[in-house]
Amino acid sequence: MTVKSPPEKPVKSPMLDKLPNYGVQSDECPRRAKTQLDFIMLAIEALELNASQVMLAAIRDLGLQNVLKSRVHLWRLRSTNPLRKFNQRQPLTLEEAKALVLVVCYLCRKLTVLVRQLFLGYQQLQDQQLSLDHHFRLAKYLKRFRSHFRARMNPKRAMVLTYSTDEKLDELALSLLTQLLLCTGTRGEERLWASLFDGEVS
Amino acid sequence: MTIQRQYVLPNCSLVLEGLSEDTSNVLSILANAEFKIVGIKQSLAGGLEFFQAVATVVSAYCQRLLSGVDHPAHISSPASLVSVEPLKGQYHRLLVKPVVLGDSSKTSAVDGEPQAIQLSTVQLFDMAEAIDQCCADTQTLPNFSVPVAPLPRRYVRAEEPLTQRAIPPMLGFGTLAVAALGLFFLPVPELVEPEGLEQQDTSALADPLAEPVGSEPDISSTDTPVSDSESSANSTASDEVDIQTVPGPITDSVKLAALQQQVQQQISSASTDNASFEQPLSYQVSVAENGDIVGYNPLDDTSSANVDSTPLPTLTYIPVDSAAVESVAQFDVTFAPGGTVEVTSDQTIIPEAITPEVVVPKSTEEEVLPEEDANGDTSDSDTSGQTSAVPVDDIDTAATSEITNVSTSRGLSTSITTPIQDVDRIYALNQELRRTIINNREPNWSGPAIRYRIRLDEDGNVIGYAADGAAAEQYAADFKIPSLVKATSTEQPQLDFLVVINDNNVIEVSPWDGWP
Repeated sequence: MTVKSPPEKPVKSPMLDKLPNYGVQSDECPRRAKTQLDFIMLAIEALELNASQVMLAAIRDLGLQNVLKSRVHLWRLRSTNPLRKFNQRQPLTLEEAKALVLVVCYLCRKLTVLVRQLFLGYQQLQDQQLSLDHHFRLAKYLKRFRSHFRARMNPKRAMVLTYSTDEKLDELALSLLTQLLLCTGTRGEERLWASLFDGEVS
Repeated sequence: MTIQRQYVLPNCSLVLEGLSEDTSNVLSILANAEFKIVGIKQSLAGGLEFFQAVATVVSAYCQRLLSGVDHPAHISSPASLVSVEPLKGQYHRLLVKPVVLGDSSKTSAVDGEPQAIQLSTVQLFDMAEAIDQCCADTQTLPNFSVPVAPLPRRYVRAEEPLTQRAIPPMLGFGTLAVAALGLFFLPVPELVEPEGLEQQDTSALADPLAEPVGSEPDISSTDTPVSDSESSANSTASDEVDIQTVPGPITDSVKLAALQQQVQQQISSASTDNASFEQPLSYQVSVAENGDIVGYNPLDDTSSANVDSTPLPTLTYIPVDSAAVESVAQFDVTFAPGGTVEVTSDQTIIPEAITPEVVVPKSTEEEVLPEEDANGDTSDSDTSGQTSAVPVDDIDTAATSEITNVSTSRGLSTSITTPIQDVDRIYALNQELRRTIINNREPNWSGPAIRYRIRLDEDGNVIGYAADGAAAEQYAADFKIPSLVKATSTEQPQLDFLVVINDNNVIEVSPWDGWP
């Protein structure tokens, strides 16, 4: 086997620096931030069938391989969410969180059309006062979100117990859809990153 | 020249009209901003103030949608010109005070009443997106920007009221206080001084000692049929009776020492000067608590043959009621031809036979006599075969002074009272002993591995020796060890050395207790 070029030097993506640290002392993300990020990624997975593959491709495109090293690493970072069943009791560093934010926004922008369609459908259903089952794509999204959530989240947690019914999960799914929509904007990364620290900074 | 900028999005379009300060194409002075929302006939228009207010509020509301935390900017208050609040489902209500609206023809009838517009999420998002695009546009309002920042902690109210949150820690502290109070009244345990270390030690010793001494009766009972019953039948019978039915041996070392003295005195006073035997006679004697000799047992053939020469038969007091036998102690009595008597206790030492703690303080702990070396029960007996080890010439020199002295220096029956401690001296003695034995040995000697314990004094004189095992006793003469022995007094410092001669005729000498 011959290698013709020198090994690639890992280059830190400049986009990571665009997201400020907001004066957080330790290198750890607040608790709510971990949960929020994990939920958003869960929503993306519910929207798109091949989400994990697409996520890895996005990491490559954005040049974030040195931060989000592999599929397993990505899973471990998501598992820092305290509500997960197999919660990894390790902190989520700011750099890793920034990388996740970038990946999320990248993916959301790809899904803009779908998200808008779903919202349109939701609006129509609400106007006509029909149940959410009537819109096929929306129902599919909700169903998949419910099954993902129930499979991954630790049912003994108090926070998870508040989402024990289908209706509550649907509400959560729709609020996450709103967040996805907001992430597609021009300043999506900034907004998402700032929202992670709401109420946490002094 | 008015400059127009238009940001068109699927559900909303923003049109900005204004002038530029300088000749460049940058719109720096805003004249009018107009939001046209698809699906709502009325458009929102206003000046810079309106635009700024809308921009701030919408941005804050978007953050609220993302994090779920209410930002104060978008909350309606009397002072705010614009506000947004969430409605059921995906609708949001935008409230605008008509003051800011430039378009007076479309305002509501009552002045001051805020205009309410219902927006869907997408429409709201498109508004925000238009504003963001405008902010990002360097050609338009370059000084204008809407900062996006996280909400400081002080604006966030906790979900639970403070009183409810404080309940668990208060409960914890309260329980701790109550428990501390309760435990405070518990009495402090009183300290009881240990009654005396000696007593504790002896009782500790008594337990391991009880076991081997308990095995003695069995050994001696097998002994009696084995040995020639030339000794008087009644003494044998009484021995059997005594020893077999002994309820519990006397194990108190203080008592043993006293009894030993008593027996010694009894026998020596009663022994006459009839040296009718050439070899030393040894007997195992049972002594009751009050000092009476209740039975004796000869240990070899000559002893049984010459028992009448000893005062033992006359001294023995056979209890009338043989069933009511009290606890007895066993002693070994050796009659030397010179007329001296030696009494030693029959106790075994606690295991790890010669450890320093055991050897030094207890003068009452003596070494075990192997009962016919065939009996391997005496567990830790790697020590002296006493009967064969005592040389005859020693007795003359040490005679009278040692009868009453419990700790004799003959043989190795006692522990060393003052060990030699100088390391160099020990080393020198070690080498000297080795040289001596090497010089004395036969060059072609071969035999099994044998061990000896040899006691030296400070000048290098061999005071006594003990052979470890039958083979060692057998070959002691080959190495001329008995001839090495000289007599000396006990007051001089002494030390034991271990001599190992293995089957290749190699001699190794080392201090018995190890190098210091």
